[in-house]
Amino acid sequence: MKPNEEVTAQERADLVAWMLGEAAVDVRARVDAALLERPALKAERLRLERVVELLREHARSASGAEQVDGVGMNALIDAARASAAKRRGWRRIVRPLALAAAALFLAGLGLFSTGRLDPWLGETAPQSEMAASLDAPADAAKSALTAEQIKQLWALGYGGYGVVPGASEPSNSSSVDRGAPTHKGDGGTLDSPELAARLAPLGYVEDGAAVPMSKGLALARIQDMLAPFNGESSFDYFLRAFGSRPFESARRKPIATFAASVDTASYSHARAYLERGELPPADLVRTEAFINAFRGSYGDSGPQNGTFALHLELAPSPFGDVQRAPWLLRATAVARDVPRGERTPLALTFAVDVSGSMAPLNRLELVKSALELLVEELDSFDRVALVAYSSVARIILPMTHASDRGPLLEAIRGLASGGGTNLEGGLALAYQHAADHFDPAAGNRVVLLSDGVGNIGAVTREALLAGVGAQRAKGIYLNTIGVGMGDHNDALLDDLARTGDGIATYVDDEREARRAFVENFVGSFETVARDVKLQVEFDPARVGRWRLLGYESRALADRSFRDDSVDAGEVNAGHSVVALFELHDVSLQGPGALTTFRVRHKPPFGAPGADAPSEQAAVIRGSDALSAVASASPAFRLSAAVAQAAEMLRASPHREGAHTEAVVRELRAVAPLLRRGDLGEDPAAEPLALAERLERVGLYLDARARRGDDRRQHDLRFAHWELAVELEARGEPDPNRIRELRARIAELEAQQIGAPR
Amino acid sequence: MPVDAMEEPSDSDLLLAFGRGDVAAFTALAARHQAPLLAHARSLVGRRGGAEDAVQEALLRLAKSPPRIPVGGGEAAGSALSGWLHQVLRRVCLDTQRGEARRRRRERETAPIEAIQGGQENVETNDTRAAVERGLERLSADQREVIALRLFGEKSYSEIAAITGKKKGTVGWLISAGLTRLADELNHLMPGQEAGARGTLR
Repeated sequence: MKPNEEVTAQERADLVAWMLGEAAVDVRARVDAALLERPALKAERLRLERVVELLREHARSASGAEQVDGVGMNALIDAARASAAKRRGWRRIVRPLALAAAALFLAGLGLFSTGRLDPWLGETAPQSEMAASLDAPADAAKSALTAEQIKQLWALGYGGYGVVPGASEPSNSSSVDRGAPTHKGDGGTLDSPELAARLAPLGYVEDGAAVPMSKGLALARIQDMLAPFNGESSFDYFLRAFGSRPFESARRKPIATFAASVDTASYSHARAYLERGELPPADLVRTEAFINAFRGSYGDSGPQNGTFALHLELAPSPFGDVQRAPWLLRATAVARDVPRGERTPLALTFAVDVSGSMAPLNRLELVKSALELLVEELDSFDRVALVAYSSVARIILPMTHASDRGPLLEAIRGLASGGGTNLEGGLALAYQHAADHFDPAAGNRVVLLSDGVGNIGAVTREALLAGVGAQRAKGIYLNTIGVGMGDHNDALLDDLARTGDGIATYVDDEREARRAFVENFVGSFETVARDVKLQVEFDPARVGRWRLLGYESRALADRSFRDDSVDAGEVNAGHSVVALFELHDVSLQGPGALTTFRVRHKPPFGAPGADAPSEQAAVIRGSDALSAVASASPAFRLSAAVAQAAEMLRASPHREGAHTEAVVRELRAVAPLLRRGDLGEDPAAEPLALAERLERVGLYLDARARRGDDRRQHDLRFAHWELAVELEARGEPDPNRIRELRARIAELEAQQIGAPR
Repeated sequence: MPVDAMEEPSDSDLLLAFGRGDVAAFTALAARHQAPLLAHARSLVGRRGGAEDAVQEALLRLAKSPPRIPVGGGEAAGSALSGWLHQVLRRVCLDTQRGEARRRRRERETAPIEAIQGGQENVETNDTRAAVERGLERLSADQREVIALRLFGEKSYSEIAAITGKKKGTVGWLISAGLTRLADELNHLMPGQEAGARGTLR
């Protein structure tokens, strides 16, 4: 039978237009009628529909199953960057969904899935491998996915995609009942095909495509499925996810103890996202980093004498659950500043990455101008040396007095890029040079400038960190400066700085370089207190429930406060540590301290009595409380607003339904009230910039806050973490606390885990 | 409303952002448009005729000198960019068929065959795919292009007309003729002819 014999070409064209939704009304009516009357046309319709179906299937399989070798996305991005760089200045709007959608799209198509480090998508994983290993046993994942990989994975924003292929039992092995942690870190490096293969069994892919799910669930899923691997400290294990601190009943737990943190890297990274008009991954946001990043704007007064000035301020909270009439307590410890003339002389050895990757985006130029800025800030009693490394390391300028500006600037300006990245060699040479010119009366420090560490030479990360640790013990500190990395958090740079008791800084442009090196200069090198611990105690008779905002990773067991062997935070000159507590059910009546704030620290190395700890305390009474937010200090209001922004960005379950607009309004209201700092910088600039950035992503931020994360997951993770901290601290664990935490965990785990909300 | 229920940014939003120096906006645009572009390029130059190169070239032109598309035109602005890209791609393909890419294609074709394999594991699927492939190759270049644009690129007749410089009526005729030809070529896969015909037709 040849059914198309009777069908004319015009009829067929009309039919096709009708099928494809292209027919005008009259054509439509004609085809409708003809289809009823003419069996031949009806048969033709079936044939043509089948052809269309075959073609569509073909298109799908061509883009899915077949591995296309991509269309050179990297080259495109470079071209786009070059083109965009011309218009740099106001990088703006992309909505985050564009990226999410694009990422999904790419993952689905498998077009760019060559497993390379894509500057935008992060490490892309080969779909084929992911799909191929779907059946791999989950044990393989447990044993081989290292904490480092997971950290990087999260830093790369992988946490947001995944799928739950079926109910899986939560791990009920109480992984925290282990002995003391053996060491921090591990020897793993991120290897993307391997990582992808490991991830596949975790249910991150389905039908070869990543599927979006709540990030909280995705993270909980990983944690559930991955036991701590051999030798992993609980710190690293829980760095995978600390959760959020819950409200605690003051009657049951009246004391909060935590280590000081002045790290603001989380804020810098998040800011890079916001500047592009994207929301940062929620896990990247640490509330305490946000709060502390604005210390330059608070204008909190430093101590008249002694190391810290302690401040406490209590006022109704401008944010939070209005029904509960929350209060906000701001506890601040401001470290003494060191006048420039009195500071310790510096002996700085710069190890500058001049590998080929420093050429794009003018990274090396940024390094040069940063170094020049720094040199301008140095005094004649400081000394500087310059080591450059690419495939090999060499001394560009031996240790020279900073007063010799000429040769110094000449050496800096002569730096040129090309070659590989022999980080190990560069660091080794810098350390050796620093040791050769070690000055016991000076602050001896190596400063590593790099665009991130792709390859690290022959040594493992562990050996590298051990080397840095050994040098640190000899009195040589290490700072790291990530240059032109955008939002890319380099876990190794962070860890190197942490191990070298220095700071990891990231600079993307001249303005940030100025901020880091000029406005913050003395502070970034001059440690005034070591192992700084904070403790806040509430009067359980007058405070019902409390919650510390942030500082999850800094949690300490209460009994560790006076255990001086515990490693805690370093605080540099002029820096302040700010902690915010949200309080419920507060009664201001009654005598005595409502809250006591204690700070314990040791003097810096080399100072007289370096190992003698000292403790300070301050109290606030009910009668000291302010009646309204408006009467609170600008610093109080600013830190509250910044914390609110952070809580929303990290989808804190405690901030479900919060509005960006309220934060933006408060930031703008408080900005003009901020006191100009001693250095003359504008304290309102960053708050106003944050307000503008938040406003731009407001729609998305509100959506994230509305969604909130599953509170149970946050609570569960933090409970696990706190239990680990409690068990691993030296001394007798508090049996009541442990019983309570175990009960809480059991209760939370009994609720179904892994079910999408 | 949850995040996922919100709308994606439009092409013009992304183009605007890229114009302000936002590289991520570009990558989003590239990701959005590359599959239909690739299908279009293949319809013009064949599967191994440098389709990817052509798409890259078109996207590169977008990166280097983004077109001025009316802002705020919503749908119209969106399809304007897509149309622009397809037009650029078309020129690139027609050019490359003559020049440099032909040399590269020859090189690629004489290189050890690896691109040809792929999905051998599923013979049944492969048969169908190969048949569709063959059928497409037997169409005229015009038919192949408009069908690719309509069915792989989901372009409307009007958009296809704008891209190819043909009349809208001609586009309709070409598609109809092409599909009919394919139906004949793929007769064994047609309803009733298929072994164990699948009840997928409405």
